[in-house]
Order: sequence, then structure tokens, then C-alpha cells
Amino acid sequence: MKKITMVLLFAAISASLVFGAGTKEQAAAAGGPVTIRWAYWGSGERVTISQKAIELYESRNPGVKVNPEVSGGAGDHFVKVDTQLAGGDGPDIIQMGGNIPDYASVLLPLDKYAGNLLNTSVIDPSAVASGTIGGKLLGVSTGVTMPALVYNKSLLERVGAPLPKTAMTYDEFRAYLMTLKGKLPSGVYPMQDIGVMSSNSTPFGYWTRYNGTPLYNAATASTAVTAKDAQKYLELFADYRKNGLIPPPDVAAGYAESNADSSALIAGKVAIGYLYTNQLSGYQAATTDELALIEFPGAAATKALWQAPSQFYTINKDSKNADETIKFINFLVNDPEAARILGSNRGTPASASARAAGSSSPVDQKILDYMQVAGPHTSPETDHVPNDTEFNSTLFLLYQRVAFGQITPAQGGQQIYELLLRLIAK
Amino acid sequence: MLDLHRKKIWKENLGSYAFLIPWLVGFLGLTLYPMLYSLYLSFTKFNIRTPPEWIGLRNYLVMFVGTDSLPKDERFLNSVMVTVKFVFISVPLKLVFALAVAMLMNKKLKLIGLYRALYYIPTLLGGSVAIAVLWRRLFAGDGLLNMILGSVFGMQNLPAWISNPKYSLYTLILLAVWQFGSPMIIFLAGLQQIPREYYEASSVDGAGRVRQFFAITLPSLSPIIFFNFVMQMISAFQSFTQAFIVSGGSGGPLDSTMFYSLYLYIKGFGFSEMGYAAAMAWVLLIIIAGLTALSFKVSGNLVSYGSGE
Repeated sequence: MKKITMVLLFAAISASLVFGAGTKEQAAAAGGPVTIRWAYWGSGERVTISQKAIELYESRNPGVKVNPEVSGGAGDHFVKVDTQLAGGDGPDIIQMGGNIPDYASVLLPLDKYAGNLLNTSVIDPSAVASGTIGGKLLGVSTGVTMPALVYNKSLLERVGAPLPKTAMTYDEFRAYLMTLKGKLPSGVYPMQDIGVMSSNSTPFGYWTRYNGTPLYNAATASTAVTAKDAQKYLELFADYRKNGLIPPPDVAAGYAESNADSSALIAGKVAIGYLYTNQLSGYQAATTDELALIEFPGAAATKALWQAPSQFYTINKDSKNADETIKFINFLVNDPEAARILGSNRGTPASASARAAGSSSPVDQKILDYMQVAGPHTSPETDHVPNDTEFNSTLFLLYQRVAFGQITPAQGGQQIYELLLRLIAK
Repeated sequence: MLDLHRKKIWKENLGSYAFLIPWLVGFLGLTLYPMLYSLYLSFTKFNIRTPPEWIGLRNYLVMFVGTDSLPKDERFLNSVMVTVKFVFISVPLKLVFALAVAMLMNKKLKLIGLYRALYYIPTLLGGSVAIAVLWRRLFAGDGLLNMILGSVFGMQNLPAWISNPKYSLYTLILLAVWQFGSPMIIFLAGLQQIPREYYEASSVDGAGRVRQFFAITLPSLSPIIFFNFVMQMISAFQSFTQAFIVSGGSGGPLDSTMFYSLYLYIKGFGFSEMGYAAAMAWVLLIIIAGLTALSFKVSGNLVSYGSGE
């Protein structure tokens, strides 16, 4: 008899070990303080200002707590979020980039909140349109941003080099790089090899637009890029590399260029790099040198630049606090005080009420000045290639193969073309 | 009669089974079920966000031969080559190094306890993110190593070791060899098991240090060398952190540090091909199991367990 009791006892204990975990959660769901989980990526400055905005919101809304879940880069962010979503434990707010269509099935449609909890009337229609996927409003734009070349103004002044014009043709640009090469000390190169970046196909995307052959058209599920086009791009940079206008491949590969902390420009190894305008304040905060913006070459004649929604705030469809979460997002994008705290870190605000708050920051002023010149040199954004992450990662590998001389630009062009076809068919 | 006996044994063992339950529940729920599920996933196309879709052997075919519509995965084969190279260079080097240090640590010196602890430290630190970042700085183009080579030895035009595909894997091998602590401790325990009399008797017979090493130390240690080899080989096959941090998560430059487990991770979480990643995990299991079995077979003649005299 004793034995039976013991058996039952142990069975009960082991069962409680297994099932015990579930009971705690149920207790917390009823009433009490609300906790909003906000997953985003970014470094340094973005973390600081996001925290300030959270503190302001929490002081105005007692009983609401916002927990940020921060990753250093977009790559890590999506790995973490994917895993959490697969485990049924996704955050409430998920910061999203151009890959928002890939996530459409796990996001909460916001249409029924627009006009009440979420004031969309002050947000630019183009920004609302960019967050609308398949007829449903899935993301609230954090602001708009533009690709740009960024140069180290202080460095150029120190070595007595002329400052670049904001708009140049490719020929003028190459001549300018040659001038820089003559002025810069050895070990410092005129421009970063902007193809050798593990996480971004934007410079290639820009060039294909300049070339009149956009990467992808979602409506026809096709690419306008041919093997010959891709080869031309690889040859352009092969020429820069041969002439010492960009660093040798092993030097370039030493900088991941995923944010300011791993940038060759910030490390002082190159005079010109590339970024999205919303990254400027983060880059500027990482160096005492003064940075400034110019256009990618050839944009004036071709309107190849574009304005992109920087990022989106999206909501996990399984969020338990959807209403409170939307109120918080409304605060982030529309509240004037929040706008002054957040500045242009996630893009120049797309909300009129946020913009009306104004900016005293010199960096934001530079972005506004740049947009003033570059704004007319834009056309609507090209659709994103399906399987964006794989495209970036493989393009990076192919580009490096050419840079290190493992394959010729012609072979590289062919492989990029095949990659595009494969990803579109996948 | 027999039946009664059985019943009695069952009754006697009941308590033991009861004690096993907590472990058993954990094993079934947290180990066996996920393993079987990953086996199932390996035959599917699964992007995490939508339910898995059964595709039979396609994942495995793409790895090794390709299918009609999909080419063979060259990056997979490259990752196998990189990993095999890493394992078969780093493990023997590490064992030689660990044995050499263990023999030094086996001497009767003052503060020997302190030395043993000090030499173990790299093993505690080596797998950490901080050390991988440090490694990146040491072997960068403008890193400490090149500064020393340049200013002390006046060498010019040095490569950026860590971002040059010719050398990057070797910097990771060096990092692995540096973590020689655990095999060192095991070697040390083994060395202390060898009876002193063997050495005394052999030196009476006129054997020198070298002869003693090859005739006594190595044969007596052979089971331990074998154990260390197998354990280190298995963990080397699973290396991930070093390559992930040092290459910024890309396995670059040029996939030269694309370890098997790193590629698995990129495929699963980066490219959202969980089914393929699951299939890769099973292939890795088979590779490791096969190589371990092979090691046991080959070791038959080389390892002496000393009891058969």
C-alpha cells in the first residue's frame, strides 16, 4: 500500500513539473498592468531615444509598461522574431523593413483601428499606402528615408581636397574619386567598396534603376536585369578596385558595414560610404568628424533614387494587448513630444503633426537639405525581390568572388542573373 | 511459477520506475519528440510562418545531387569541406598541444596548482563572444599582430588575416587550439595513473626520455588519447560561435569560414528554410556517427587498454 502511495506521489510531482508552467500565465491575463513587448533593431542612439519615448509614455499612462527587445542588426532581429513567432511567443510590436510582405500572414490588420485609436488622417497617404499589403493596412510607417552617399567632410578638409557636389554623373564621380586618391594618405581610400556588404543589396538596386533595368516587378514576377547588366555593374567596381579608388577586397571585407560600429567610414579608412538618410544621426554620433550627404551618381538625369518607408511598426496578430499596443504606436508616430525625442532616427516623420514639432538638430537639417535636392530625382520604389535575405546574402558572396578574383565579372554577372531567376521562381 | 516470479520483480522495480518518471517525461517531451519532429521536418518545406509541406527526399537530393528544377547546393558542399578541414587540422594540433602542456603540468613544481588553473582559463573564455571579437581585432589588417610584425620585424604589405579567404580559417583553427584546457586536464589525470615503477624500471634498463615517452607514456595513454580525439572531433564538428562572431554572421570572406552549423543556421533562420536546415542536422548526425564508428574500428589496433596481459 505504501508503495502505491509513493508511486502516486511521484507521478503527481512529475506531472506538476510538466504542466505547472502553464498555470502561471493564465493568472496574469486577468486585469492588472499591461505589458507591451516592442521588438526592434538598432544600436546606440536609437536605443537611448526609444527608451526616452517609452518613459514619457509610461509616465502619461500609469498601468502600461513597455518592454523593448532590441537586436543590434536587422538580421539578428528577424532570427529572434521568427523563433519567437514559431514558438507562439512573439512580441506585440515588431519593427519591420521592406520584407513586410513576407510576414503578412502573421500580422494584425489595422484597418478597423484607423481613424479611432490610430490617427491616420495626419499621416502622408503615400506612407499609408506603403504599409498596405494586399488591401490591408498591416504596418505604420516610422518615417521616410532615402539612400545616399555619405562623406567625411572633416577628413576632406584636413587633407585639402575639394568637397563633392551633391549631384554628379558617373564620369564626374569617377574623376572626383581620382582627385581624392591623390590627396588621401596611404591606407585611406576614396570610397568604401559598397558592394561588399553582407546585409544590403541597395547600391546594386540603385544601379539597376539607373541602368533602366529594375531588379524586380512583382506584377509580372520578373526581373529586367540580364547577365550582361549585372556584369557591367561588377566591371564598374572592378575598375574602381584596380585604380585604388576602393579598398582591396580583404580590407573591405574587414568591415561588416551593418551599422556605424562596423563601418569603414567611421573607422576612418574611407572618405565616402553609403547609408540611408535615417542612419545619418547614428553615424554622426559615432564620430567627431563632420559627415555630410551627396546623391548616388547619375540620379539627376534618371530619377533613379527613391523614397522608402524607413521601417514599419507592425503588430503580431496573436498580441493579447492589441488596443494598448495601437495606442502606443499612435503615440510614437503622431505625438509632437514623441517626435521631438525620436527625431529622424527611424526616418523623417511621415506624420504632419510629428513634422510640425520641428527639429533643432543639425543632422536632421542636413537630411532635410539633402531631400530638398534629391527629392525631385526620385521615382517610385522598385518591388523587393522575393526572399530578400537570401538575395542579400548570396549577392554578397558572388560579389566577393569577383572582388577576390575567383571568378570574372562575366561569370559573376551570369551567376547573379541565375540567382535572381531562382529566387523569383522559389 | 515463472509468472509469479515476474510479477514479483515488476513489483519490486515499481519504485525505481516511479523515480524515473521525471527524467522520462523530460526525455520523451524535450528530447525524443523534438528529434522525431525534426526528422519529419527534414522531409518538408517549412518557412516557420506557414505549415510544413511534405516534399519527400528533395532537401537531401538538393544537398548532394540536385533535382531537375533545383541545382546542387554548392554552398552546402563547401561548408562540409570547410568543416572537415577545420576538424582534421584543429583536433590533432590541439591534442598534441594539450599533451605537451599536460606533461609539463605533471611535474612537481611549486605553485603547480596555480599553473594548472591558469592554463585552463583559455578554455573557459575561448567560446565566448568577447574572445571572438578580440580575435577579430588581433588579426585584422590593422590589428595587433600586423602592428607587431610591422614595427618589430619591419614586415610590409601584410594581409588582413581574418578577412582574407586564404588565412581566415587558420585564425579560427588557432582559436580552437588555444582552448586546449579540457583535453589537458584529462591527459593530466591519465599521466598520473601511469605507475612510477614503469619509468624507474625502464631507466634502470637504460631507456632515455624519448624512449620512455614512446614506449611507456603513449601506449599507456592511448585509451585517453582516443577518448579525447573522439570528444574533440564531435565538438569541433559542431563549432559555431567563433565563425559566427568573427565573420559577422556571414561565414565570409568567400564562405571560407562557413562552418556546417553556421550554414545550417543561415539556411534555417536567415533564408527561412527550416526543412532544409533540419535535413542538414540529420546529415551532420550521420557524418559524426559514421566518423565515430570508424574511429572505434581503426582504434582497435592502436589503443591498448592494458588489461589483456
